[in-house]
Amino acid sequence: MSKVKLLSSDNEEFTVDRIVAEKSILIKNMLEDMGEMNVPIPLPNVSSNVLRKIIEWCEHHKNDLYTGNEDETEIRLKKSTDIDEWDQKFISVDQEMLFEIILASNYLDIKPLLDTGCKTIANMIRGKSPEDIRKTFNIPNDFTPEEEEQIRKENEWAEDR
Amino acid sequence: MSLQQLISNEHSNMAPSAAPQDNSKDKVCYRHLYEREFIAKGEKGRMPLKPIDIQKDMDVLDDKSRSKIEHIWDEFKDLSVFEQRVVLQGIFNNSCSSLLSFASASLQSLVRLDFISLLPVEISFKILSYLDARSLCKAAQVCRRWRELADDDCVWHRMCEQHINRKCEKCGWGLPLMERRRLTAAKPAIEERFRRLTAKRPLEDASEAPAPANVHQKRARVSEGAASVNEEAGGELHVCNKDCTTLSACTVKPWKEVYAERCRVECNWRHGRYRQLLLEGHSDGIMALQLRGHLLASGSYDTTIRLWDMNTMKPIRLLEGHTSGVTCLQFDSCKLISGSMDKTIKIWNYRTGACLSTFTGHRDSVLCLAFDSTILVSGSADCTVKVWHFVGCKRITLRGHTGPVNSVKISRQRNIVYSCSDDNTIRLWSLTTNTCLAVFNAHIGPVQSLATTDSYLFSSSLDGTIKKWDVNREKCVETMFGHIEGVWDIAADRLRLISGAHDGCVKVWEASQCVYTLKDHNAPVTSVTLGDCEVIAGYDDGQISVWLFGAVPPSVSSSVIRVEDGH
Repeated sequence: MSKVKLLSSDNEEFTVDRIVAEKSILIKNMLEDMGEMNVPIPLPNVSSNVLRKIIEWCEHHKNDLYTGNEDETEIRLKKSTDIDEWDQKFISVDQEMLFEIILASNYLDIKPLLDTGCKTIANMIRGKSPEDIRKTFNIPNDFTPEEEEQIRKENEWAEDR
Repeated sequence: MSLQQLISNEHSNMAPSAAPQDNSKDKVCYRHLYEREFIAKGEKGRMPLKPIDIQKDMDVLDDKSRSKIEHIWDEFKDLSVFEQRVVLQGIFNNSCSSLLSFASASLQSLVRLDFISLLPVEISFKILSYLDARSLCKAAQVCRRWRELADDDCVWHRMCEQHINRKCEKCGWGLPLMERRRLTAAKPAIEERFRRLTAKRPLEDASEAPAPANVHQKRARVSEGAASVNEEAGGELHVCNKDCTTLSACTVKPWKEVYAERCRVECNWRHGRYRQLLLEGHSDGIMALQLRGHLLASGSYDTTIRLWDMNTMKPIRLLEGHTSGVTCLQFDSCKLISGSMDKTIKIWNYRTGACLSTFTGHRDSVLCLAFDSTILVSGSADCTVKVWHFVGCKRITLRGHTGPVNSVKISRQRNIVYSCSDDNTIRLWSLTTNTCLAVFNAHIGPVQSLATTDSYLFSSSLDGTIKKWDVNREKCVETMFGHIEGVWDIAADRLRLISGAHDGCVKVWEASQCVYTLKDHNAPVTSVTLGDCEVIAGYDDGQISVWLFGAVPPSVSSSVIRVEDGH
């Protein structure tokens, strides 16, 4: 099986199977355009610790069928809490790493991983009160008490169901 | 270079493996990047990151200690990222346990990130798109930036698409229909808005690009009384058609408000909260009802057809011409077609009240009809179904029923006609071959009414039941019990079914379960019709009951109708 070399932003080289690297649509397109490459592919936006993590994910999912033209609404209809067990464990990292994984999967165009990252954050928001959300993400409340009350009233309708 | 590339570049220096030679002390992580950004814009009060409040501790110190500490901080700031790491490690080495636990506790909240504000807008929208309405409303109360994103039309237009006039497969909620074409018509504008908000900005000036403030919604908030729309927001106006009944719907309304409004109506439906009105005008039993937009048409044994304006709840037109009871009617935007016990079918210009033409052909009372753009189908007490082709003036008679035909429905998708009869059967007719394709036998009494939804056919019978049919499998998949006497009429939309019976009850059904019963008076219910916000029932005594689940129309006059509060 052919191998691909990847170079992280901090100049660490990773050698992976082509099928693993091609989980990234960015790399896949690059390889298709350039053919076989002996030089490592530079990924100036991904540091080695993030890239290592991403490669771990790609290794695990290398045999997944990629449904590139999946309808957007289809994706939405899937329960957003649906993250498979391995992925859940994989994504149980500190917030900085989660942030990096999301940015890197967006840059590398690895849609299923980006979805998993986004769902994870959505799950951290879902069902929480505004104050709990602020605590979860360390967000200062920049509303005046009057504004806060007015916005609470504005959103009251969602409680009545 | 895009926003995320910038962020990625900027903070990659923070990575543990950052090389010592990477001496770029003026580069900052996303924590400080945004801080710098906001300071540069003079918006210090809106810093998205929560600094540790150290002023209090500083105040208790004397000047000498203060300047010593400030000196250490300044020195630290001037170091490269790698040097800062070494300093921190050294500090940890020199710290006793209590300091380390202090550090660990402080770090717990400091390492938290405001994903929604820091991530590129398109990813933030993506995260929000995984949330339900309730969580989105909570998110909007977190801070200003979250509010901008969580209230955005991009998010709520999708929520509307997902829930209005369909059951969301994710949460099981469906919201009553508003004009769905408005939803579709607004789609390109919303997509354009999404593109605009998430557009990758060129990055000549690094300090300029990633500020979330750059992608502020230009649209003034409704809470600030925004009736006027600036040029930029003009593209996202969801202008509705001229026949739109409420003027307010024609002005800018955020999709969140549209959703909230429909949600309130749905809650009223769920909890059975309504206002009830009575329309009086017919002098004999109601035989047919149809609601279309704000117009209600009623046909009666008293030989007349009345049109009512549901905004004012007033009768606006009287169609006279039939010589016997009007048993059925249907109208569209330009014409009304009625069938009568005088054996004729009449076509009316209901705006002027003129009868345009009269069809004869049935040998007995016309009991039911249905039309679309090309055909009219009628059923009669003469046991036949007739298909009248508007083009070519062809008339075809479908024979098979052995009793009066009580209801007909056209399914253009399948190119078939359904009919039901006093002979206890339902028949399927092909419009291609004009032959009977199937006979459904399950009711043990005359079948009075049919209703169709996307995937099912419903029938009601004087045997007191309502049946749900899977047409493809030609099978009755469910029987709904509840009425203690014969069910004269049913109506259904994608969310619910209503039925009216001889026992005077109107029942509202969801997922084949009766959710509540509306009972106004004891006369048999002979006809029902279902709107987005209303249930309307016609009685044998000539009265029409209206249950309103939405807001009560503002200009209701009590001289024509009796207003009662719902229970």
